Amino acid sequence: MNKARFMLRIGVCVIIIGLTILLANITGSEGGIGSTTFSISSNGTWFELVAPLRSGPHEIRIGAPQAFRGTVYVFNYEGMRLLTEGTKLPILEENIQGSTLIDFTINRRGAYLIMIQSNVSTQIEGSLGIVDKGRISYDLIFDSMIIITIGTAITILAITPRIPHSNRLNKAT
Amino acid sequence: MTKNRFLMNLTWELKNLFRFPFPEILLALFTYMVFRPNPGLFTSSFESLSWPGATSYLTFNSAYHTAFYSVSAYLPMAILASIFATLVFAYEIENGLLKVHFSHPTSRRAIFSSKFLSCFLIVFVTLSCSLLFFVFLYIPENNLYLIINSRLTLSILLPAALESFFIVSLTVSFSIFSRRASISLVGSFATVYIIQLLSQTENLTFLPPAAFYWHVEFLFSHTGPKLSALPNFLVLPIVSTLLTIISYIYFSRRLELS
Repeated sequence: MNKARFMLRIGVCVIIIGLTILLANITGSEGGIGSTTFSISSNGTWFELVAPLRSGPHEIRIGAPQAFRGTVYVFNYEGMRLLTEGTKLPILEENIQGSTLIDFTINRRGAYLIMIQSNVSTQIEGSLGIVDKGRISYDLIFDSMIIITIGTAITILAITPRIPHSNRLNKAT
Repeated sequence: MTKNRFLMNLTWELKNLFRFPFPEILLALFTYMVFRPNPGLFTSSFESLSWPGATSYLTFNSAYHTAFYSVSAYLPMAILASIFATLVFAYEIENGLLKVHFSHPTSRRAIFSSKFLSCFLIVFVTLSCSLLFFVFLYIPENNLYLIINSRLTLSILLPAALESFFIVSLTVSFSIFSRRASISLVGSFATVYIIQLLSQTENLTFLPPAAFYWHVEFLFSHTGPKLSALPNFLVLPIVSTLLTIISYIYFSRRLELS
């Protein structure tokens, strides 16, 4: 297989990957739910969960006794970095009491930290669910478009005829 | 000389299997299966972690999830591996092409190895491409850490290699023992599918694809690989190796072409 043909195959493969990511994103936008249980010991302590989330609308479902009062924070990647340095800069902060539903929207997929801080003195056990409400992720569409563009560029480069070296010399002289 | 013949055979087989549109179809199927949204959660304690520790943890989890999702490509892999094994072995036995191979001054070992390796490579390379695309697009902030930490990338590729090895060894065995293209195609796929059904309905975790999750758990354990999990991890590689050895012995010593 010569170099141009190899490049052409690579270009086509990259385009196919980009198109498939696009298709998977469009057809698989029905959403889903992930859940876990938590236990917070006493006043001022917290429970943390790091979850990889797609962009789009999400809902946090907290199942806890009615006596529970606390604060829910959502941090993005930068927020997590700042948190490890001691600065609390969440993208969402909400006071809750008992079982609560919180809606929020994410603009960029990635890892997010969900923190539930207790404001009561007793130990609380509850459940935390994160619902992906299912919408096309525009950031993934954008990324797949970039992949398709790169693939197209490789393909065009591969099929563009190369000027033979001898012709270039003739032109120069 | 034998090495050269092996390389020549391998090149020929690879050219056969990597011709348009086989790898493209595989790439499309694997990418679709891996990129379908799979909601998942993972926990971590940030209070005691420094930022390098936290990023390392996030990268580890992103690699873990990628390896986990590689198992979702099991069924398309089974269908296409059975087609490739049939094309490379049973079809050539049936229509007499293998006789032409044997008439060359090449050992049967070289022929078997090149054919087996080509089947394995097309499945493994395409699955690896899809997984690498996934891991670099999953949590884009982790990409630099993934490049630096090559051990994680290898840990993603190892379950993919074990998965490919199992399916290829099973389909190749079917192909060699059946000698008929139709029987090999239907039989090998049916076997892989029945194994999957048994694994799901009867909850037999030592059977694939559930067993592949054990591989991922073993490789991505936070406390390091546990000795108690080693038997679960080793079952499928041992079965795959046995199948390959049996197929090789039959192919090199017992296979008679009429």
